[in-house]
Amino acid sequence: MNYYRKNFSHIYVEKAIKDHPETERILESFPHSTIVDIERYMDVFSPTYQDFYSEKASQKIILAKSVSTLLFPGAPVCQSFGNDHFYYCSGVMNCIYDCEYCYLQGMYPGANMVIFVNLEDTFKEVEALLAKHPVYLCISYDTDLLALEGILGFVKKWIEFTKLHPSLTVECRTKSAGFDLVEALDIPDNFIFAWTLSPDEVARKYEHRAPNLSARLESIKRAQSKGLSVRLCFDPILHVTNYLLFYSAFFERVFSELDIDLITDVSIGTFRISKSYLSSMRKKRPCEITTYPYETSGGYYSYSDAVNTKLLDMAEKEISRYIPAEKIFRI
Amino acid sequence: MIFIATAIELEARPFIEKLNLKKNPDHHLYNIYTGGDFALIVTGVGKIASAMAVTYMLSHFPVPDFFVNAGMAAGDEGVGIYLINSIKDLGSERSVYPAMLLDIDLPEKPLCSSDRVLSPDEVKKGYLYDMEGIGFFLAASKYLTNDRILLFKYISDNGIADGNLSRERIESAITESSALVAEKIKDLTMYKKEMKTTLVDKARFDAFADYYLMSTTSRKDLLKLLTYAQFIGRDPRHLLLINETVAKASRKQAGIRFIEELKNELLP
Ligand code: SF4
Repeated sequence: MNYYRKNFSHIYVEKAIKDHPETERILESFPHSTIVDIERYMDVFSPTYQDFYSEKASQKIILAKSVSTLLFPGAPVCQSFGNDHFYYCSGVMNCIYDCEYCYLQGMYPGANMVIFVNLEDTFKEVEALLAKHPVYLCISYDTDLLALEGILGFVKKWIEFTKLHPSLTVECRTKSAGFDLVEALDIPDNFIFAWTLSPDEVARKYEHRAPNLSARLESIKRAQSKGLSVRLCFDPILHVTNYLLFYSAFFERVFSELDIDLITDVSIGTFRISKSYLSSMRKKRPCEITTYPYETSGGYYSYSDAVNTKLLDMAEKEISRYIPAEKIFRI
Repeated sequence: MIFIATAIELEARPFIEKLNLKKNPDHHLYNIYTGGDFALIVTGVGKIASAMAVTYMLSHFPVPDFFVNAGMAAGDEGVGIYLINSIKDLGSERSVYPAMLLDIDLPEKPLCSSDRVLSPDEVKKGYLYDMEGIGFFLAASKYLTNDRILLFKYISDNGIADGNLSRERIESAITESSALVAEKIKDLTMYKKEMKTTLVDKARFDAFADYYLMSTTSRKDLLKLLTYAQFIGRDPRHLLLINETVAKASRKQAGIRFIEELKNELLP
């Protein structure tokens, strides 16, 4: 018996954006949800004392107005793919998927999803940056924006915005199988879809609620059949039992199914996370991923140098059978 | 355990009967009734009284699975029982929100807590009004996560200022409503917070660490490894085997070696 309410049983709406057209549009997708008016999103997102994992079992949506910037400089643990002026946008906080290794569990106090609906203010901010220099912007780090496209339509808005700004490069990272939702759009070259792929053994065990490998590959194939060049992210590669067995078969499957000429580049990385996030994750969710005896260096936890090298070398060796070395970015 | 807070004895009585509670003789500051999986406290009227009683309860008993506030409310909604999804303190204008995670089949309403009885023109449509909710919630949320704090409020009249809050009127409304609320509260016993498993028996762990003269850091490292062992399907108890032939002078080194070897053994 499931004692929890369905996800999005409640939508909390900040008074400041109650009449915003996006709010009204998003609420139309939830005719059966209970709408609760709130003053400040933090009262629901981060109350005195909450249980992240219980919240994850029955996630709520909080519609809010961003009053400060949502653009942040890219973190050193994130891959910039050689771009200068690397930023990420945190327009949605939290994700409908539930990956055991996800840093959001360490970063946020609660699991409810905050959606800042005033995207137009973020667009203005990006334009202000673009007036100074080109911008490389990742819009789907603290969530999976494509997975939410059916209710938000934000990817479409970002595509349209990107089309107007040639000196902007946007990356939309996803594990979603929902490319069909944006398939009909004219997607410019400076808008890059980046799929995170994992072997099915990893996806099944650690990437809860996310589409399986076949579904992700199908979505990528749809994008490629439109002539779109995509980015592949094999990140994090996990040091788990039998990894050698299944990662090798996995790379072979990915590159035999996809059109190699339509792969912009590939990133590989192993599990790495800030110390404070991991301590928080260990308390909230003790599991194989969080309790692994990582080593610490420069404020981050990761595998030992030897393990990291072993994993990345293995991945690079396998991938370079299909993709030129200069297209493989390693963290 | 499930704790219940009611403001007055009259509201408590149906729960005492339905849940077979007995007055607890160990507590004299409050009327507290206990029995089986339940404990009930009569808090007194008002948010401060409610907060004090909840704090008393939570500092004298182990933290329960749920803490429920059940009682009368006013408002111009129809007669019925409501689950509360937000609570506003009309004094400070501050609002708090129960997490609304459990699938409880009741209509929901926002609640306003006031320090005084309101006149009809101060009552907003769609809201319920009481005098305890905010105090109850704020005190309980110091001890429990907000998914474990539930408020059930019942409406019996919509003329709180008509001066006709007679004992009979309240009593019959309470008796009707409380039967259903008691059932809802009983349902909560099926939903238990997952017990945090004790990963390693403490006495066994201490005996092992003491034998190998482990430092605090080594103990922490060992505990982390044993926790990880459990998640990869190894039984930590089988890993803590003392080699009784090690001389005392070599035990510290042997302990450090043990941790290193265990790490190598466990990692993929
Ligand atoms: S898809 Fe990405 S953002 Fe979502 S839970 Fe997984 S790792 Fe986190």
